[in-house]
Amino acid sequence: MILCQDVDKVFITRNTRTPLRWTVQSLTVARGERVLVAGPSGCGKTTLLNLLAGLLHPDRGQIVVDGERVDEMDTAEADLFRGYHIGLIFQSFQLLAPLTVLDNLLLGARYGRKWTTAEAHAKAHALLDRVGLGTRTLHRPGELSLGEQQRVAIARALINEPPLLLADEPTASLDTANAANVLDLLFDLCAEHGTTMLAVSHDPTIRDRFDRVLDAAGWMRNPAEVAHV
Amino acid sequence: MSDLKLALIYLRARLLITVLTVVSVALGLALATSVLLLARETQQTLMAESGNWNVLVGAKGSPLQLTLNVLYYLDQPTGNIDVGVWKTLAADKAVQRIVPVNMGDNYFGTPIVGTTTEYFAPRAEAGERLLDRGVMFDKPFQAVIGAEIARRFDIPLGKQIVGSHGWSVGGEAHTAFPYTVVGILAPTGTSQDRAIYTDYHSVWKLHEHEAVEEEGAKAPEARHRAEGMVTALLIQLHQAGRAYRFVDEVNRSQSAMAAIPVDQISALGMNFIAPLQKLLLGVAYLVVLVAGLSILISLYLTIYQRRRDIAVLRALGATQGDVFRLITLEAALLAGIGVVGGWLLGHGAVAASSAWTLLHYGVAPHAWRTDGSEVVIAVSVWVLGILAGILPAVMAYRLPVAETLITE
Repeated sequence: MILCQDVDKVFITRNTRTPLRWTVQSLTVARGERVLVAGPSGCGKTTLLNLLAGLLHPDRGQIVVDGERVDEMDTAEADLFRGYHIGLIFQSFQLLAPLTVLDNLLLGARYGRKWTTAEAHAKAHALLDRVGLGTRTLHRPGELSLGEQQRVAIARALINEPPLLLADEPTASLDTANAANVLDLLFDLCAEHGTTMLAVSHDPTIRDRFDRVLDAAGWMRNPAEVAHV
Repeated sequence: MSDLKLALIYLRARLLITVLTVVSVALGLALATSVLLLARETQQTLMAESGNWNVLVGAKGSPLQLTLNVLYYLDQPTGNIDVGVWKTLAADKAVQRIVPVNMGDNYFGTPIVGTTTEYFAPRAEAGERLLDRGVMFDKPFQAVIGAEIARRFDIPLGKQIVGSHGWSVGGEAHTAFPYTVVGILAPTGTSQDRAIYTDYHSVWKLHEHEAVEEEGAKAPEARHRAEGMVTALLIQLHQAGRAYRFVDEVNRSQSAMAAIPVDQISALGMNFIAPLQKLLLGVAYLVVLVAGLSILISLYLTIYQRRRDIAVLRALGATQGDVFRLITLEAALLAGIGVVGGWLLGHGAVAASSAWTLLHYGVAPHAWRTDGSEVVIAVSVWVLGILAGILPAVMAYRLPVAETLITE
């Protein structure tokens, strides 16, 4: 499902204007696998997600997702690919506040460009029922608890039945009980749809829930090494 | 979830800014629309009325004042002319129709016009219905009243009304000589709606009686003086093309002044109405420009506040073109709603004020009539609004998604 080969990305840090080099020599994730990328803050976990989703472009190397060369896509191709093939879950949910719960899901469906309007409505209602929010469809995100908001975010990420789900710190904003519930839901839904899941987290308590854990320490390297690039 | 629904949701989410922006666009367009409409309708009404008569003859003075007074009751009479002028011109072979007009009295500010029923001949010949109710006057101290006056003062047929001396309210009341209302004119949307018409002998008899009372011993002279005057003459010629020569002849040979009303109104339009219209339109365009800027500022600020939401849209698969289109659509909606609101407001304001403009200026604009220039302005405002949305749309287009999702 995922193949990264000799991928390089150089950043200039916002505050210190220091160059940093993000490198992954080889990374593979099999279809249906549930993989956790662990590591401390700032080690480049989210960078991996952004590169896989086509939100960032690598300076060098190959990135293959679901058989497609993401690194060779232009911006528009990457946008369309992301909408169709990838579900994204963000640490802070990133639900759109003016929209209802239902509309947040329908928006995901709109840019997935996979379903007709009727199909999108049916899938949104089914998913909201599945995540226990079938009676909250017309509520705004601000009217929901954090756990409920994350469940809406999960439903939105999965409405297009993407082959790959990328989750950025999916439990970081939740308390322990809510975090466990959300993870259960996430694993169940991925299993139901055969979705491959790559999550990043610095939370050590969730490591044993995944098939495999990748250590991101060392992906982001120091300026001296960058000088030789 | 269509772009339209999404755009409307975001416009509603910032309702106050949306309303203020729409109102600013609407006010600009309403100003432009009402200026154009009023200028156009005023010009058309004035030209239509001035076209009924080829030549006006009155006391020497300002030809424009004569025209405004005799045809529109907008200015004071220039004075009176000797009835001999009437008799002389009536005998002129070039004259097809000549109608006397006597003015100088009012009913609560409404001019009382002494004339003959020939005064209404051009309308009758054009196939217009003259009377709404009642009959035309056929002897002194009978009156027919304009539709707006009947409505405003709630005057029924048969009612007696008393005029006062002078052009405006406050003159001495002629209580001994009331007029009986025998007819109410059909509405015309012209100055005829706001005047009272009677046989010209009424005015002569009334002023003769007062002159006799005042001057006693010199009564025969006073009677002669009152009967020997008219305020103006309205003339139709057999050949309209002879009007200039006819005017020259009158001005040379008579102790009176002749004027061609169409020329006077055209000059008024060119020298006064058109520059004023340009000035007001300039103000309107400025207001519209400010409205366009307010759209730009409103969207610019909202894009800055919506950076996270736009980044999320992109993360969900929206292309740069999708977000550009969304923001441009919001601008188009803001401007579009403003344009529709402005058109309704502009025309509604003219409609609401039409009774007032008819009463005071004899112009009843067709408030909901639209012409090409209005459409051009409305479309221009709409396009300006869309153009104002382009800069914010470009900002949204160029938003760095990954960085925004991390930092916002």
